[in-house]
Amino acid sequence: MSFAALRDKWLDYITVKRKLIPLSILRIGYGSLLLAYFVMLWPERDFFFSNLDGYYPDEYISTKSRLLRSLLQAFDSYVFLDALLLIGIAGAACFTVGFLTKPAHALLYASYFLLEGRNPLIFDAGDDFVQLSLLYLLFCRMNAHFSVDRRLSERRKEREPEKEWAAVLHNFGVFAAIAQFLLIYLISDAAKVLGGMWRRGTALYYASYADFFNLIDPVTELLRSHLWISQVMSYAVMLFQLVFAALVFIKKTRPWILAAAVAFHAGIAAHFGLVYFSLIMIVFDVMFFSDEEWRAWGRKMRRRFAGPERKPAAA
Amino acid sequence: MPKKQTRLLILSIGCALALAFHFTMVLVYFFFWFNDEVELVDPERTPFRELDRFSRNYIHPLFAQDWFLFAPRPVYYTDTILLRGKTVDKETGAIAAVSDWYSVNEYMIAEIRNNRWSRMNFYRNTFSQNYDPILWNYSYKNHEIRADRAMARNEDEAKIFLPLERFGSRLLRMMDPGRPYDRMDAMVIVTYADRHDTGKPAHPTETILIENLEFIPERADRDVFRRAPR
Repeated sequence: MSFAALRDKWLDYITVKRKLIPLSILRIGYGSLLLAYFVMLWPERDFFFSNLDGYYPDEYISTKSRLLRSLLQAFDSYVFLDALLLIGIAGAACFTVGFLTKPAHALLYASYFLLEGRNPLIFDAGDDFVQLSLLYLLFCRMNAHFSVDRRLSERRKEREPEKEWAAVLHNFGVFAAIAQFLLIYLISDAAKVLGGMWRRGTALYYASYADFFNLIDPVTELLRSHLWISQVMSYAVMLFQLVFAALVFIKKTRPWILAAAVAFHAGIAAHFGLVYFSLIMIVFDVMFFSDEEWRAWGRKMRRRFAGPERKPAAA
Repeated sequence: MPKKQTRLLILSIGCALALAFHFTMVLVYFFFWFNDEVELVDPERTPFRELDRFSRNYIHPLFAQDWFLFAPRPVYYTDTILLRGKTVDKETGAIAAVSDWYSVNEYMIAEIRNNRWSRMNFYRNTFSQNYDPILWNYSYKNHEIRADRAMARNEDEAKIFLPLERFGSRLLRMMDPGRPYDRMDAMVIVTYADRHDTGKPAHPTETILIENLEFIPERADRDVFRRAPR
Protein backbone atom coordinates (compact mmCIF):
# COMPACT_ATOMS: atom_id res chain seq x y z
CA MET A 1 0.00 0.00 0.00
CA SER A 2 1.37 3.41 -0.96
CA PHE A 3 1.92 6.18 1.59
CA ALA A 4 -0.90 8.24 0.04
CA ALA A 5 -3.36 5.34 0.28
CA LEU A 6 -2.31 4.67 3.87
CA ARG A 7 -2.72 8.35 4.73
CA ASP A 8 -6.19 8.49 3.13
CA LYS A 9 -7.27 5.34 4.94
CA TRP A 10 -6.05 6.81 8.23
CA LEU A 11 -7.88 10.09 7.61
CA ASP A 12 -11.06 8.21 6.66
CA TYR A 13 -10.86 6.35 9.95
CA ILE A 14 -9.89 9.19 12.26
CA THR A 15 -12.30 11.84 10.93
CA VAL A 16 -15.44 9.84 11.76
CA LYS A 17 -16.52 9.75 15.40
CA ARG A 18 -16.23 6.20 16.71
CA LYS A 19 -17.84 4.37 19.66
CA LEU A 20 -20.76 6.77 20.01
CA ILE A 21 -23.14 4.11 21.39
CA PRO A 22 -20.67 2.69 23.96
CA LEU A 23 -19.83 6.24 25.06
CA SER A 24 -23.51 6.96 25.64
CA ILE A 25 -23.91 3.78 27.70
CA LEU A 26 -20.75 4.67 29.61
CA ARG A 27 -22.16 8.14 30.28
CA ILE A 28 -25.28 6.64 31.86
CA GLY A 29 -23.21 4.16 33.89
CA TYR A 30 -20.68 6.69 35.18
CA GLY A 31 -23.28 9.37 35.75
CA SER A 32 -25.59 7.17 37.81
CA LEU A 33 -22.73 5.74 39.89
CA LEU A 34 -21.34 9.19 40.64
CA LEU A 35 -24.80 10.55 41.37
CA ALA A 36 -25.41 7.75 43.88
CA TYR A 37 -22.03 8.40 45.52
CA PHE A 38 -22.45 12.17 45.73
CA VAL A 39 -25.93 11.77 47.24
CA MET A 40 -24.55 9.28 49.76
CA LEU A 41 -21.74 11.69 50.65
CA TRP A 42 -24.06 14.66 51.21
CA PRO A 43 -24.82 13.94 54.91
CA GLU A 44 -21.15 13.05 55.50
CA ARG A 45 -19.63 16.00 53.65
CA ASP A 46 -18.31 17.93 56.65
CA PHE A 47 -16.71 14.87 58.16
CA PHE A 48 -14.91 13.81 55.00
CA PHE A 49 -14.09 17.07 53.25
CA SER A 50 -14.31 20.13 55.49
CA ASN A 51 -11.12 21.79 56.69
CA LEU A 52 -13.05 22.83 59.82
CA ASP A 53 -14.73 19.61 60.97
CA GLY A 54 -13.14 17.06 58.66
CA TYR A 55 -11.53 14.07 60.34
CA TYR A 56 -8.36 14.57 58.31
CA PRO A 57 -6.59 17.95 58.57
CA ASP A 58 -5.81 19.42 55.18
CA GLU A 59 -2.17 20.01 56.12
CA TYR A 60 -1.64 16.23 56.19
CA ILE A 61 -2.52 15.98 52.51
CA SER A 62 0.76 15.66 50.70
CA THR A 63 0.82 17.55 47.44
CA LYS A 64 3.59 19.51 45.82
CA SER A 65 1.11 21.23 43.56
CA ARG A 66 0.74 24.86 44.60
CA LEU A 67 -2.46 25.09 42.60
CA LEU A 68 -4.09 22.17 44.40
CA ARG A 69 -2.82 23.40 47.76
CA SER A 70 -4.44 26.81 47.20
CA LEU A 71 -7.64 25.22 45.93
CA LEU A 72 -7.81 23.05 49.04
CA GLN A 73 -7.94 26.20 51.17
CA ALA A 74 -11.42 26.79 49.79
CA PHE A 75 -12.61 23.86 51.92
CA ASP A 76 -12.33 26.26 54.89
CA SER A 77 -15.76 27.44 53.83
CA TYR A 78 -18.95 25.43 54.32
CA VAL A 79 -20.60 27.41 51.53
CA PHE A 80 -17.92 26.30 49.08
CA LEU A 81 -18.19 22.67 50.16
CA ASP A 82 -21.98 22.62 49.89
CA ALA A 83 -21.90 24.37 46.53
CA LEU A 84 -19.23 22.01 45.21
CA LEU A 85 -21.17 18.91 46.18
CA LEU A 86 -24.43 20.35 44.82
CA ILE A 87 -22.66 21.14 41.55
CA GLY A 88 -21.39 17.57 41.52
CA ILE A 89 -24.91 16.20 42.12
CA ALA A 90 -26.46 18.44 39.47
CA GLY A 91 -23.60 17.68 37.05
CA ALA A 92 -23.96 13.93 37.58
CA ALA A 93 -27.75 14.07 37.12
CA CYS A 94 -27.51 16.11 33.89
CA PHE A 95 -24.65 13.94 32.64
CA THR A 96 -26.66 10.75 33.24
CA VAL A 97 -29.68 11.90 31.27
CA GLY A 98 -27.56 13.70 28.70
CA PHE A 99 -28.89 17.21 29.27
CA LEU A 100 -26.38 20.02 28.57
CA THR A 101 -23.96 17.15 28.50
CA LYS A 102 -20.66 18.93 27.82
CA PRO A 103 -20.97 21.61 30.57
CA ALA A 104 -22.36 18.97 32.95
CA HIS A 105 -19.38 16.75 32.15
CA ALA A 106 -16.92 19.58 32.83
CA LEU A 107 -18.61 20.51 36.13
CA LEU A 108 -18.77 16.88 37.20
CA TYR A 109 -15.07 16.46 36.48
CA ALA A 110 -14.13 19.67 38.33
CA SER A 111 -16.14 18.81 41.45
CA TYR A 112 -14.86 15.24 41.47
CA PHE A 113 -11.26 16.40 41.04
CA LEU A 114 -11.52 18.80 43.99
CA LEU A 115 -13.34 16.39 46.30
CA GLU A 116 -10.89 13.60 45.46
CA GLY A 117 -7.98 16.02 45.97
CA ARG A 118 -9.28 16.99 49.42
CA ASN A 119 -9.71 13.38 50.51
CA PRO A 120 -8.05 10.93 48.15
CA LEU A 121 -8.74 7.77 50.13
CA ILE A 122 -12.45 7.65 50.77
CA PHE A 123 -13.24 6.05 47.43
CA ASP A 124 -11.53 2.85 46.40
CA ALA A 125 -9.16 2.56 43.41
CA GLY A 126 -12.04 3.37 41.05
CA ASP A 127 -11.71 7.08 41.84
CA ASP A 128 -8.40 7.51 39.99
CA PHE A 129 -9.75 5.83 36.89
CA VAL A 130 -13.04 7.76 36.89
CA GLN A 131 -11.16 11.02 37.29
CA LEU A 132 -8.72 10.27 34.47
CA SER A 133 -11.28 8.87 32.08
CA LEU A 134 -13.65 11.79 32.70
CA LEU A 135 -10.77 14.07 31.75
CA TYR A 136 -9.93 12.20 28.52
CA LEU A 137 -13.59 11.84 27.60
CA LEU A 138 -14.07 15.62 27.78
CA PHE A 139 -12.87 15.58 24.17
CA CYS A 140 -15.54 13.03 23.16
CA ARG A 141 -19.16 13.28 22.21
CA MET A 142 -21.02 11.50 24.99
CA ASN A 143 -24.61 12.47 24.12
CA ALA A 144 -25.07 10.96 20.66
CA HIS A 145 -27.59 8.39 21.94
CA PHE A 146 -30.07 7.96 24.80
CA SER A 147 -29.86 11.63 25.74
CA VAL A 148 -32.16 14.59 26.28
CA ASP A 149 -29.81 16.70 24.14
CA ARG A 150 -30.39 14.42 21.18
CA ARG A 151 -34.17 14.46 21.66
CA LEU A 152 -34.15 18.25 21.86
CA SER A 153 -32.06 18.64 18.73
CA GLU A 154 -34.33 16.17 16.88
CA ARG A 155 -37.39 18.15 17.96
CA ARG A 156 -35.79 21.38 16.80
CA LYS A 157 -34.76 19.55 13.64
CA GLU A 158 -31.25 20.86 14.08
CA ARG A 159 -28.59 18.94 12.31
CA GLU A 160 -25.15 20.00 13.40
CA PRO A 161 -22.56 19.50 10.69
CA GLU A 162 -19.92 17.03 11.89
CA LYS A 163 -16.62 18.84 12.27
CA GLU A 164 -13.75 16.65 11.21
CA TRP A 165 -11.23 18.20 13.62
CA ALA A 166 -13.68 17.49 16.48
CA ALA A 167 -13.88 13.87 15.31
CA VAL A 168 -10.06 13.60 15.51
CA LEU A 169 -10.09 14.88 19.11
CA HIS A 170 -13.06 12.62 19.92
CA ASN A 171 -11.27 9.51 18.68
CA PHE A 172 -8.04 10.34 20.51
CA GLY A 173 -10.06 10.89 23.71
CA VAL A 174 -11.46 7.38 23.26
CA PHE A 175 -7.96 5.95 22.61
CA ALA A 176 -6.63 7.61 25.75
CA ALA A 177 -9.45 6.27 27.96
CA ILE A 178 -9.05 2.73 26.60
CA ALA A 179 -5.24 2.87 26.91
CA GLN A 180 -5.60 4.03 30.53
CA PHE A 181 -7.98 1.16 31.25
CA LEU A 182 -5.57 -1.41 29.81
CA LEU A 183 -2.71 0.16 31.72
CA ILE A 184 -4.49 -0.56 35.02
CA TYR A 185 -4.30 -4.30 34.44
CA LEU A 186 -0.75 -4.21 33.09
CA ILE A 187 0.68 -2.04 35.89
CA SER A 188 -1.18 -4.02 38.52
CA ASP A 189 0.12 -7.27 37.01
CA ALA A 190 3.70 -5.98 36.91
CA ALA A 191 3.38 -4.96 40.58
CA LYS A 192 2.08 -8.44 41.44
CA VAL A 193 4.99 -10.13 39.68
CA LEU A 194 7.32 -8.11 41.92
CA GLY A 195 5.65 -9.37 45.08
CA GLY A 196 6.82 -12.68 46.52
CA MET A 197 3.35 -13.54 47.82
CA TRP A 198 1.86 -13.38 44.32
CA ARG A 199 4.75 -15.31 42.78
CA ARG A 200 4.36 -18.06 45.36
CA GLY A 201 0.58 -18.00 44.98
CA THR A 202 -0.02 -17.23 48.65
CA ALA A 203 -1.31 -13.67 48.12
CA LEU A 204 -4.99 -14.51 48.48
CA TYR A 205 -4.26 -16.80 51.43
CA TYR A 206 -2.64 -13.90 53.27
CA ALA A 207 -5.27 -11.43 52.12
CA SER A 208 -7.91 -13.69 53.69
CA TYR A 209 -6.64 -12.47 57.08
CA ALA A 210 -7.64 -8.86 56.42
CA ASP A 211 -11.09 -8.73 58.03
CA PHE A 212 -12.42 -5.79 56.08
CA PHE A 213 -11.80 -7.42 52.72
CA ASN A 214 -13.29 -10.81 53.50
CA LEU A 215 -17.01 -10.46 53.59
CA ILE A 216 -18.11 -13.98 52.57
CA ASP A 217 -17.14 -16.37 55.37
CA PRO A 218 -17.14 -19.67 53.38
CA VAL A 219 -14.76 -18.14 50.80
CA THR A 220 -12.47 -16.91 53.59
CA GLU A 221 -12.49 -20.38 55.17
CA LEU A 222 -11.66 -22.05 51.83
CA LEU A 223 -8.77 -19.65 51.19
CA ARG A 224 -7.36 -20.24 54.67
CA SER A 225 -7.77 -24.00 54.76
CA HIS A 226 -6.77 -24.97 51.18
CA LEU A 227 -3.60 -23.30 49.99
CA TRP A 228 -4.02 -24.68 46.46
CA ILE A 229 -7.21 -22.62 46.05
CA SER A 230 -5.24 -19.47 46.81
CA GLN A 231 -2.49 -20.58 44.42
CA VAL A 232 -4.89 -21.32 41.55
CA MET A 233 -6.76 -18.06 42.06
CA SER A 234 -3.62 -15.92 42.48
CA TYR A 235 -2.10 -17.27 39.25
CA ALA A 236 -5.44 -16.99 37.45
CA VAL A 237 -5.70 -13.31 38.41
CA MET A 238 -2.14 -12.63 37.19
CA LEU A 239 -2.77 -14.49 33.94
CA PHE A 240 -6.07 -12.69 33.36
CA GLN A 241 -4.47 -9.26 33.86
CA LEU A 242 -1.58 -10.18 31.57
CA VAL A 243 -3.64 -11.41 28.62
CA PHE A 244 -6.60 -9.04 28.87
CA ALA A 245 -5.05 -6.31 26.69
CA ALA A 246 -4.30 -8.79 23.91
CA LEU A 247 -7.45 -10.93 23.96
CA VAL A 248 -9.91 -8.05 24.19
CA PHE A 249 -8.97 -6.90 20.69
CA ILE A 250 -9.49 -10.32 19.08
CA LYS A 251 -13.09 -10.67 18.03
CA LYS A 252 -13.38 -14.37 18.88
CA THR A 253 -11.87 -14.10 22.38
CA ARG A 254 -13.39 -10.73 23.30
CA PRO A 255 -16.70 -12.01 24.78
CA TRP A 256 -14.83 -14.62 26.85
CA ILE A 257 -12.23 -12.27 28.28
CA LEU A 258 -14.92 -9.67 29.02
CA ALA A 259 -17.07 -12.34 30.71
CA ALA A 260 -14.00 -13.21 32.80
CA ALA A 261 -13.51 -9.51 33.61
CA VAL A 262 -17.13 -9.16 34.75
CA ALA A 263 -16.84 -12.32 36.90
CA PHE A 264 -13.50 -11.11 38.33
CA HIS A 265 -14.89 -7.71 39.31
CA ALA A 266 -18.20 -9.13 40.57
CA GLY A 267 -16.12 -11.37 42.86
CA ILE A 268 -14.10 -8.38 44.08
CA ALA A 269 -17.34 -6.48 44.77
CA ALA A 270 -19.01 -9.36 46.62
CA HIS A 271 -16.07 -10.70 48.64
CA PHE A 272 -13.70 -7.76 49.02
CA GLY A 273 -16.52 -5.21 49.15
CA LEU A 274 -14.87 -2.86 46.63
CA VAL A 275 -18.19 -2.17 44.94
CA TYR A 276 -17.47 1.23 43.43
CA PHE A 277 -14.21 0.18 41.80
CA SER A 278 -15.75 -3.03 40.47
CA LEU A 279 -18.80 -1.35 38.97
CA ILE A 280 -16.65 1.30 37.30
CA MET A 281 -14.47 -1.39 35.73
CA ILE A 282 -17.48 -3.44 34.62
CA VAL A 283 -19.24 -0.43 33.11
CA PHE A 284 -16.14 0.52 31.13
CA ASP A 285 -16.15 -2.89 29.40
CA VAL A 286 -18.91 -1.59 27.10
CA MET A 287 -16.20 0.42 25.33
CA PHE A 288 -14.69 -2.71 23.80
CA PHE A 289 -17.61 -3.21 21.41
CA SER A 290 -18.05 -1.10 18.31
CA ASP A 291 -21.14 0.88 17.26
CA GLU A 292 -21.93 -1.77 14.63
CA GLU A 293 -21.86 -4.56 17.24
CA TRP A 294 -24.16 -2.61 19.57
CA ARG A 295 -26.56 -1.89 16.67
CA ALA A 296 -26.60 -5.58 15.70
CA TRP A 297 -27.44 -6.53 19.30
CA GLY A 298 -30.11 -3.86 19.41
CA ARG A 299 -31.76 -5.30 16.29
CA LYS A 300 -31.49 -8.83 17.72
CA MET A 301 -33.08 -7.75 21.01
CA ARG A 302 -35.86 -5.89 19.26
CA ARG A 303 -36.64 -8.98 17.16
CA ARG A 304 -36.61 -11.20 20.24
CA PHE A 305 -38.82 -9.00 22.42
CA ALA A 306 -41.05 -7.35 19.82
CA GLY A 307 -41.59 -10.53 17.81
CA PRO A 308 -41.42 -10.78 14.02
CA GLU A 309 -42.11 -7.56 12.17
CA ARG A 310 -45.64 -7.46 10.76
CA LYS A 311 -46.02 -7.24 7.06
CA PRO A 312 -48.37 -4.48 5.89
CA ALA A 313 -51.83 -5.83 5.12
CA ALA A 314 -52.62 -6.26 1.46
CA ALA A 315 -54.89 -3.56 0.11
CA MET B 1 -3.38 17.05 -1.12
CA PRO B 2 -6.06 19.57 -0.15
CA LYS B 3 -5.19 22.06 2.58
CA LYS B 4 -7.95 20.75 4.85
CA GLN B 5 -6.63 17.20 4.65
CA THR B 6 -3.12 18.41 5.49
CA ARG B 7 -4.43 20.23 8.57
CA LEU B 8 -6.31 17.14 9.72
CA LEU B 9 -3.24 15.00 9.21
CA ILE B 10 -1.09 17.41 11.23
CA LEU B 11 -3.74 17.50 13.99
CA SER B 12 -3.93 13.72 14.16
CA ILE B 13 -0.13 13.38 14.25
CA GLY B 14 -0.01 16.02 17.00
CA CYS B 15 -2.64 14.12 19.02
CA ALA B 16 -0.77 10.84 18.54
CA LEU B 17 2.49 12.44 19.74
CA ALA B 18 0.75 14.01 22.74
CA LEU B 19 -0.79 10.66 23.66
CA ALA B 20 2.55 8.87 23.23
CA PHE B 21 4.28 11.46 25.44
CA HIS B 22 1.57 11.25 28.08
CA PHE B 23 1.60 7.47 28.40
CA THR B 24 5.41 7.37 28.25
CA MET B 25 5.43 9.69 31.27
CA VAL B 26 2.93 7.44 33.05
CA LEU B 27 5.13 4.41 32.37
CA VAL B 28 8.26 6.28 33.51
CA TYR B 29 6.42 7.30 36.69
CA PHE B 30 5.56 3.67 37.45
CA PHE B 31 9.02 2.49 36.41
CA PHE B 32 10.52 4.47 39.28
CA TRP B 33 7.98 3.00 41.69
CA PHE B 34 9.03 -0.47 40.62
CA ASN B 35 12.68 0.55 40.67
CA ASP B 36 12.39 0.94 44.45
CA GLU B 37 11.78 -2.84 44.58
CA VAL B 38 14.08 -4.19 41.89
CA GLU B 39 16.72 -1.42 41.49
CA LEU B 40 17.21 -1.81 37.76
CA VAL B 41 18.84 1.61 37.66
CA ASP B 42 20.68 3.66 40.25
CA PRO B 43 18.08 6.25 41.31
CA GLU B 44 20.83 8.60 42.53
CA ARG B 45 22.33 9.08 39.05
CA THR B 46 21.45 12.56 37.86
CA PRO B 47 19.56 11.67 34.63
CA PHE B 48 17.38 9.09 36.43
CA ARG B 49 16.77 11.37 39.40
CA GLU B 50 15.72 14.19 37.08
CA LEU B 51 13.50 11.89 35.01
CA ASP B 52 11.85 10.59 38.18
CA ARG B 53 11.27 14.14 39.42
CA PHE B 54 9.94 15.27 36.05
CA SER B 55 7.51 12.33 35.76
CA ARG B 56 6.20 12.93 39.30
CA ASN B 57 5.66 16.62 38.61
CA TYR B 58 3.92 15.74 35.36
CA ILE B 59 1.61 13.15 36.93
CA HIS B 60 0.59 15.14 40.02
CA PRO B 61 -2.07 16.28 40.57
CA LEU B 62 -3.93 16.14 37.23
CA PHE B 63 -3.04 12.58 36.25
CA ALA B 64 -2.50 11.10 39.74
CA GLN B 65 -2.97 7.33 39.74
CA ASP B 66 -2.15 4.24 41.75
CA TRP B 67 -2.79 0.78 40.32
CA PHE B 68 -1.07 -1.44 42.83
CA LEU B 69 -4.36 -3.03 43.93
CA PHE B 70 -3.31 -5.61 46.53
CA ALA B 71 0.21 -5.69 45.02
CA PRO B 72 3.11 -6.22 45.40
CA ARG B 73 1.91 -7.45 48.82
CA PRO B 74 -1.75 -7.65 49.77
CA VAL B 75 -2.90 -6.47 53.19
CA TYR B 76 -2.16 -9.51 55.39
CA TYR B 77 -3.20 -8.22 58.76
CA THR B 78 -6.27 -6.84 60.46
CA ASP B 79 -6.31 -3.57 62.36
CA THR B 80 -9.01 -3.78 64.98
CA ILE B 81 -10.07 -0.50 66.56
CA LEU B 82 -11.76 -0.61 69.95
CA LEU B 83 -13.25 2.51 71.51
CA ARG B 84 -14.57 3.31 74.95
CA GLY B 85 -16.16 6.48 76.25
CA LYS B 86 -15.40 8.22 79.52
CA THR B 87 -17.51 10.62 81.55
CA VAL B 88 -15.78 13.21 83.71
CA ASP B 89 -17.08 14.43 87.03
CA LYS B 90 -17.54 18.16 86.45
CA GLU B 91 -16.67 19.11 90.04
CA THR B 92 -13.60 17.02 90.72
CA GLY B 93 -12.39 16.54 87.13
CA ALA B 94 -11.90 12.84 87.80
CA ILE B 95 -13.19 10.05 85.56
CA ALA B 96 -16.70 9.20 86.81
CA ALA B 97 -17.68 6.38 84.45
CA VAL B 98 -16.08 4.30 81.71
CA SER B 99 -18.06 2.43 79.06
CA ASP B 100 -17.34 -1.04 77.65
CA TRP B 101 -14.99 -1.38 74.70
CA TYR B 102 -16.85 -1.15 71.38
CA SER B 103 -15.36 -2.83 68.32
CA VAL B 104 -15.45 -0.48 65.32
CA ASN B 105 -14.57 -3.41 63.04
CA GLU B 106 -17.52 -5.55 64.10
CA TYR B 107 -19.89 -2.63 63.62
CA MET B 108 -18.53 -1.67 60.20
CA ILE B 109 -18.25 -5.21 58.84
CA ALA B 110 -21.83 -5.98 59.92
CA GLU B 111 -23.02 -2.82 58.14
CA ILE B 112 -21.08 -3.57 54.95
CA ARG B 113 -22.18 -7.23 54.90
CA ASN B 114 -25.73 -6.07 55.28
CA ASN B 115 -25.37 -3.55 52.45
CA ARG B 116 -22.32 -3.65 50.17
CA TRP B 117 -23.23 -0.14 49.02
CA SER B 118 -23.21 1.21 52.59
CA ARG B 119 -21.65 4.56 53.55
CA MET B 120 -19.44 2.49 55.85
CA ASN B 121 -17.29 1.82 52.77
CA PHE B 122 -16.09 5.43 53.00
CA TYR B 123 -15.23 5.00 56.67
CA ARG B 124 -13.48 1.70 56.00
CA ASN B 125 -11.27 3.27 53.35
CA THR B 126 -10.12 5.97 55.79
CA PHE B 127 -9.30 3.51 58.53
CA SER B 128 -5.53 3.60 58.93
CA GLN B 129 -5.26 7.33 58.23
CA ASN B 130 -6.69 7.94 61.67
CA TYR B 131 -3.95 6.42 63.74
CA ASP B 132 -0.98 6.38 61.34
CA PRO B 133 0.18 9.86 62.47
CA ILE B 134 0.24 8.57 66.05
CA LEU B 135 2.20 5.44 65.08
CA TRP B 136 4.72 7.54 63.15
CA ASN B 137 5.25 9.79 66.15
CA TYR B 138 5.62 7.16 68.87
CA SER B 139 7.98 4.22 68.59
CA TYR B 140 7.17 0.62 69.43
CA LYS B 141 8.38 -1.09 72.59
CA ASN B 142 7.81 -4.83 72.68
CA HIS B 143 5.08 -4.53 70.02
CA GLU B 144 3.17 -2.09 72.19
CA ILE B 145 2.55 1.62 72.04
CA ARG B 146 1.04 3.59 74.84
CA ALA B 147 0.14 7.13 73.90
CA ASP B 148 -1.70 9.65 75.99
CA ARG B 149 -3.30 12.71 74.52
CA ALA B 150 -2.80 14.51 77.84
CA MET B 151 0.96 14.00 77.53
CA ALA B 152 1.27 15.86 74.23
CA ARG B 153 4.14 18.29 74.68
CA ASN B 154 2.83 21.02 72.44
CA GLU B 155 0.04 21.97 70.07
CA ASP B 156 1.67 20.28 67.08
CA GLU B 157 1.94 17.01 68.93
CA ALA B 158 -1.67 17.27 70.07
CA LYS B 159 -2.72 17.73 66.46
CA ILE B 160 -1.72 14.20 65.47
CA PHE B 161 -4.52 12.88 67.69
CA LEU B 162 -7.15 14.92 65.86
CA PRO B 163 -8.03 12.47 63.04
CA LEU B 164 -8.60 9.65 65.54
CA GLU B 165 -10.57 11.95 67.86
CA ARG B 166 -12.94 13.00 65.11
CA PHE B 167 -13.22 9.54 63.60
CA GLY B 168 -13.62 7.87 67.01
CA SER B 169 -16.20 10.38 68.25
CA ARG B 170 -18.35 9.86 65.19
CA LEU B 171 -18.13 6.08 65.32
CA LEU B 172 -18.74 5.96 69.07
CA ARG B 173 -21.87 8.08 68.58
CA MET B 174 -23.06 5.61 65.92
CA MET B 175 -22.38 2.53 68.06
CA ASP B 176 -23.60 4.00 71.33
CA PRO B 177 -26.00 6.80 70.43
CA GLY B 178 -27.15 9.43 72.91
CA ARG B 179 -24.36 9.04 75.45
CA PRO B 180 -22.70 12.38 76.28
CA TYR B 181 -19.10 11.28 76.78
CA ASP B 182 -16.34 13.72 77.64
CA ARG B 183 -13.33 11.70 76.64
CA MET B 184 -12.53 8.37 75.09
CA ASP B 185 -9.76 5.80 74.77
CA ALA B 186 -8.87 3.91 71.64
CA MET B 187 -7.07 0.63 71.23
CA VAL B 188 -5.69 -0.55 67.89
CA ILE B 189 -4.79 -4.23 67.73
CA VAL B 190 -2.84 -5.35 64.67
CA THR B 191 -3.22 -9.10 64.12
CA TYR B 192 -1.12 -10.71 61.41
CA ALA B 193 -1.97 -13.66 59.18
CA ASP B 194 -0.74 -17.14 60.12
CA ARG B 195 2.22 -18.20 57.98
CA HIS B 196 0.95 -20.70 55.46
CA ASP B 197 3.80 -23.17 56.13
CA THR B 198 3.81 -23.12 59.94
CA GLY B 199 0.29 -22.11 60.86
CA LYS B 200 1.72 -19.64 63.37
CA PRO B 201 1.28 -15.86 63.15
CA ALA B 202 3.76 -14.22 60.77
CA HIS B 203 4.40 -11.45 63.32
CA PRO B 204 3.49 -10.95 66.96
CA THR B 205 0.26 -9.05 67.59
CA GLU B 206 0.81 -5.33 68.09
CA THR B 207 -1.20 -3.21 70.47
CA ILE B 208 -1.55 0.53 70.49
CA LEU B 209 -3.40 2.06 73.42
CA ILE B 210 -4.25 5.73 73.05
CA GLU B 211 -5.79 7.35 76.09
CA ASN B 212 -7.62 10.53 76.99
CA LEU B 213 -8.73 11.49 73.50
CA GLU B 214 -11.17 14.38 73.26
CA PHE B 215 -14.75 13.33 72.56
CA ILE B 216 -15.93 15.83 69.96
CA PRO B 217 -19.67 16.49 70.09
CA GLU B 218 -21.74 16.66 66.92
CA ARG B 219 -22.17 20.20 65.69
CA ALA B 220 -25.81 21.16 66.10
CA ASP B 221 -25.84 23.91 63.52
CA ARG B 222 -23.17 24.99 61.12
CA ASP B 223 -21.89 28.52 60.98
CA VAL B 224 -21.57 28.67 57.23
CA PHE B 225 -19.48 31.80 57.13
CA ARG B 226 -16.91 30.69 59.67
CA ARG B 227 -13.39 30.39 58.35
CA ALA B 228 -10.56 28.42 59.87
CA PRO B 229 -7.77 30.45 61.47
CA ARG B 230 -4.55 30.13 59.44
